[in-house]
Amino acid sequence: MGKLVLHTVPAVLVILLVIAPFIIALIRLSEASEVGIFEAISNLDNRYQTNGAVGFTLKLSAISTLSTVSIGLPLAWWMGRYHWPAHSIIRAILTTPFVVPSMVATIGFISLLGPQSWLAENFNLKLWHTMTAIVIAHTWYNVALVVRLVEPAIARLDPSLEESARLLPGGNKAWKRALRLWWPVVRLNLAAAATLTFVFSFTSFALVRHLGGPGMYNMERAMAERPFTGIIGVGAVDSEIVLAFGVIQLVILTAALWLLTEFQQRGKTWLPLATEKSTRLQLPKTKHQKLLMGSALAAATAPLYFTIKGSFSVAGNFSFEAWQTAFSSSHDFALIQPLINTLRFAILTVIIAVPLAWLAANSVSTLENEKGWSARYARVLDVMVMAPFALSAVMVGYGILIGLSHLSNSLLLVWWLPLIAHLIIALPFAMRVILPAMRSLDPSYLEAARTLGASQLKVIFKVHIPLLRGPLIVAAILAFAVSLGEFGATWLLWNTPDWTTLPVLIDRAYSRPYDPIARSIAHVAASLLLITTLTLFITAEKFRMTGQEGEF
Amino acid sequence: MLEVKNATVSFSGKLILDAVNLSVGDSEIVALLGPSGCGKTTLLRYIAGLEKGSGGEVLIAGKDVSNLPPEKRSVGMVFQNLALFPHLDVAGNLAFGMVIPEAEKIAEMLGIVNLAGFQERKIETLSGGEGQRVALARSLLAEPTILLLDEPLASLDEDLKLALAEDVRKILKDRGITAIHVTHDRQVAKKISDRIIEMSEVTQAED
Amino acid sequence: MKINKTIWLTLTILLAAPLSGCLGPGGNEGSDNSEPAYKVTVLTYDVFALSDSMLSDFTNRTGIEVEIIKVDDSGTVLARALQTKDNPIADVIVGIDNSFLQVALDNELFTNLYNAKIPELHVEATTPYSGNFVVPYDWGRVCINYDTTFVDGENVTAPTSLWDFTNDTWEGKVVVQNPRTSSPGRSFMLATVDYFANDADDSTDFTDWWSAMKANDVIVTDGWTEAYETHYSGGYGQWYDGFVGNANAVVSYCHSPGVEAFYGDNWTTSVALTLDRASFLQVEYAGIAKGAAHPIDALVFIDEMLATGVQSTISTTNFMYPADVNYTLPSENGYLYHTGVPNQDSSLTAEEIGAGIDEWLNQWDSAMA
Repeated sequence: MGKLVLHTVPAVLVILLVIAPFIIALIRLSEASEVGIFEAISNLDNRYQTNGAVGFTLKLSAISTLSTVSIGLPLAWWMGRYHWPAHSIIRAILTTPFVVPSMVATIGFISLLGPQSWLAENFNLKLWHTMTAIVIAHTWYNVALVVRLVEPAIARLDPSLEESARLLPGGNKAWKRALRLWWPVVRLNLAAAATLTFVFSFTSFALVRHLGGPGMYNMERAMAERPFTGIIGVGAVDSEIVLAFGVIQLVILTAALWLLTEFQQRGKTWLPLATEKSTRLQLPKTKHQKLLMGSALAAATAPLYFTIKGSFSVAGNFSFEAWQTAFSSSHDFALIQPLINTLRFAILTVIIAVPLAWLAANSVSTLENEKGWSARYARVLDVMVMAPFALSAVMVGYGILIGLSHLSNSLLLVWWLPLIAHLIIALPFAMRVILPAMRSLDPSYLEAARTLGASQLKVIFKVHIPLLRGPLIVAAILAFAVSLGEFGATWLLWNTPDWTTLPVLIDRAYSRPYDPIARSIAHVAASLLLITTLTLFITAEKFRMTGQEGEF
Repeated sequence: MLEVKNATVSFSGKLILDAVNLSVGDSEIVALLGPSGCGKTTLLRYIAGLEKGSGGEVLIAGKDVSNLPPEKRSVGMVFQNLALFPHLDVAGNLAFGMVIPEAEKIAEMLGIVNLAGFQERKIETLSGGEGQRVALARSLLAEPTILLLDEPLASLDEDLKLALAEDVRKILKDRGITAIHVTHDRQVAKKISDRIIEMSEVTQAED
Repeated sequence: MKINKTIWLTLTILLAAPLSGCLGPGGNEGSDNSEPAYKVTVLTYDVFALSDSMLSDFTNRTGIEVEIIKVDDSGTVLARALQTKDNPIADVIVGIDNSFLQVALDNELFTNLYNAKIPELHVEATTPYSGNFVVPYDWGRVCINYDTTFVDGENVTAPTSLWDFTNDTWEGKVVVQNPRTSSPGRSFMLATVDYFANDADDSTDFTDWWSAMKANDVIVTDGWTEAYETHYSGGYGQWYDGFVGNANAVVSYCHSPGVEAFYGDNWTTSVALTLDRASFLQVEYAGIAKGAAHPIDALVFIDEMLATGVQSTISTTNFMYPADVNYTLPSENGYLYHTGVPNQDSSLTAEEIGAGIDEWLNQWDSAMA
């Protein structure tokens, strides 16, 4: 009986937090928008911001994906095939961009590509307000993903396979081996990485908002600044637009998610084991390759360097003033409270999301092997928990704003409102790490514990959790990082100054008129966020290096 | 001591155990012999409570435990793959089944299985035979009413197998433990048990 | 194990940091559980006049604690107020302007302000609305500013009609704000509605002009800051990071050149375009929410906003004209001198705006799509 309750808890919570608000939001949007969904979509062409937004979004995502793959694949190849000096450090640097919060990257790229930036002044590169700038930023972000997912497949290929291929007519030339040996090894992981890149570029918000400039709207940005959404009467147009884009996004993202699970089901997990056992060749590297790898490393770190550098400059002069003002309590953009808020939300996200993901993963992995309704429930629960992957951050924000607020206005003022957004977004990540680990755990450990007389609780705390400690920690770190960097949903939700988070503050400080120190403070805030994130991931890497099975 | 009546278990429509009956006397060591795949492990798991059947009963010391979960049945089990907890050392594993872990009892048991001084050894450093003995010791320390052994010696080589079989029998007999040992190896069965039961005798299920 | 210790240490540090702050929801000087007897909550956007020093000064003198709920802009203020009108989350609503006012009034967001201590006001502050539900605290005129380094009188002459901006000379050199997301943008669009409805040519209306502007590569930003600071060549943006300066005309305030001069030692190249009906009189209002929890304290706050202390400094804190007739823009440093004053503003009333704004916005959207 208790078991039954336990199995339904994750479902109930997911329904309460995710599904119910969204359905309510959808209903409310339809009411407020005064037109049906099809008319809403066709009206998009008729409006200034929304005209062409869908096309632009798809174009941006496609070009970003192509660009990422063309740079990421060679890098993954070099990393996988050759043993570079300080190999793990190089890999860490190359994969760092992926964990950088979007607002930090935004500030970094503004300093790198903007009107008075190093690139603009020394190379006369006018990338400001162009799609190219956004594509560059997306590539920077997602190359890390390609390297992360593809490199292990290359590195761990049994060398005897390659050796035997060399001796056969079908593999005696390099290009033949590339086609017949390496491509099959790599293609599923690459496809997964490409799909993920597409999804992340598709829902990109902070970068488009700041690097895109006037007139450049992807769906996320066009949806975002709509204050009257959901308000009957004056909110008709806003609601219509959010409804139309919301549905389109949902369809495309669900398709992408489905593709991703397809790739996964074809034998390769999309979270490959990254043991340290490698079969890398210790080939000497040509100068050419070394130069390119050096450029890659420089490119990976450049935006971060400029983010931190910019915090020491106020109105063009070197100064500590920004840091000093940021930590005083008087200025509008004092950072201590937002920093505390950000950390608090992150810790709470971990404390709630990881156990919830555990419960859900447990239910799915135990029930999916049983018959009848249990197995069906497991499948439904799996999809429900993963559903937020198909929602963009702004959509999550609107879901909470309109859906939850419909239940009670005062919910709009609670300090933990953004926390719900963070939970919704972090939960699938945690689930994605814990569930495969649970599935692959030998059940005899738990059975042995039970035959030794251990109660259910003892089995969970003394055996199950310790055996899954590695994945649990990775899940916790992922949840923490997701919360730290979350921008779109938090930005959309109510923000009293006391409960602002760092990413939102960076955005506000950057957009503030008349105040030259505000931009520098934005840099300070970005630097703080960056340092916190990097510390987190260095800890994670250290932990992974001690021989536990590493997953993403 | 142990009575199994009408045990019936199917997996995905396939009948594995069909109205199986089994009975084991107090302090008796019984070997369940049969080729792979005939349901020996399933029967063991059914007795332990790890598999559910449709109908049928399990009585331990006269008490009907059919509706009790494994942790309440006082049935110990040594698994084929040993299932030693890698995150605990040998002492930690041994202490796991004890209500109140006592270092003395642990040391005593390690002596009995010829692994004196092994308390702080890590599981991954144990050899096949050593692991067997730790697994046996662990189950014994939990003081079960019935001990089930699921081909625990299967992965060892011949000499070690037979030697250990003798040791195991001695330990069980010294303590008067009622045990069922599942194996496909007739030699081991003879060494270890008082009575050999052929699986084909107790079940009508098809292989 | 060493690894364990590192993890626990890190986690402890992370957990300890936030616990050093108090866990309750914040107020300015947060007392968490009990409702202070004197407290007022203000819903507003980034109104500079409500600075920390103004607020703490207010609290010190009156004993009333102030909590600010700060949203992005004027439109969002209205949106939040509408969303929560049955259960208002603020006592005072500051920042709704006359282009949004009718919607607010139609939805009965405010209660009557009979007892407010309202000083004598500038006539402009009462033109769009003179009822009792809200009081104006500042006002200004939205109009185009242009840069005289570009409009030098030889190569480029000063525009004598809005149609001039649709010529090749101004291709890609005009920046405006999206009326859906920006308050000055909205004001200017309303001005164009009036301008083109009343010009000599009966066959064209504002949508034709906007289409022509779109064809002439007008830059449309989300907000005023980006337009003025980043794109406009004649403003203070040139001293800031991120300056692009590709536009020589911007929709801003007629007194913006005055602000430039004031902070620029009586020198600026920016000039306000004061053609008839090409400017929009914008008035910003404050009111007490209907159903407010602390109506009396709210009234004190409103009084404060209209009192000398705030009004006398509005022109340099909020960069607008004060509502109080006794104060106006300073004459020092050319503030007043460089401020443009049109002969005639566009003449839409609050009701006309309320009735037509949705349709006009849709038409604007279509024209610009």
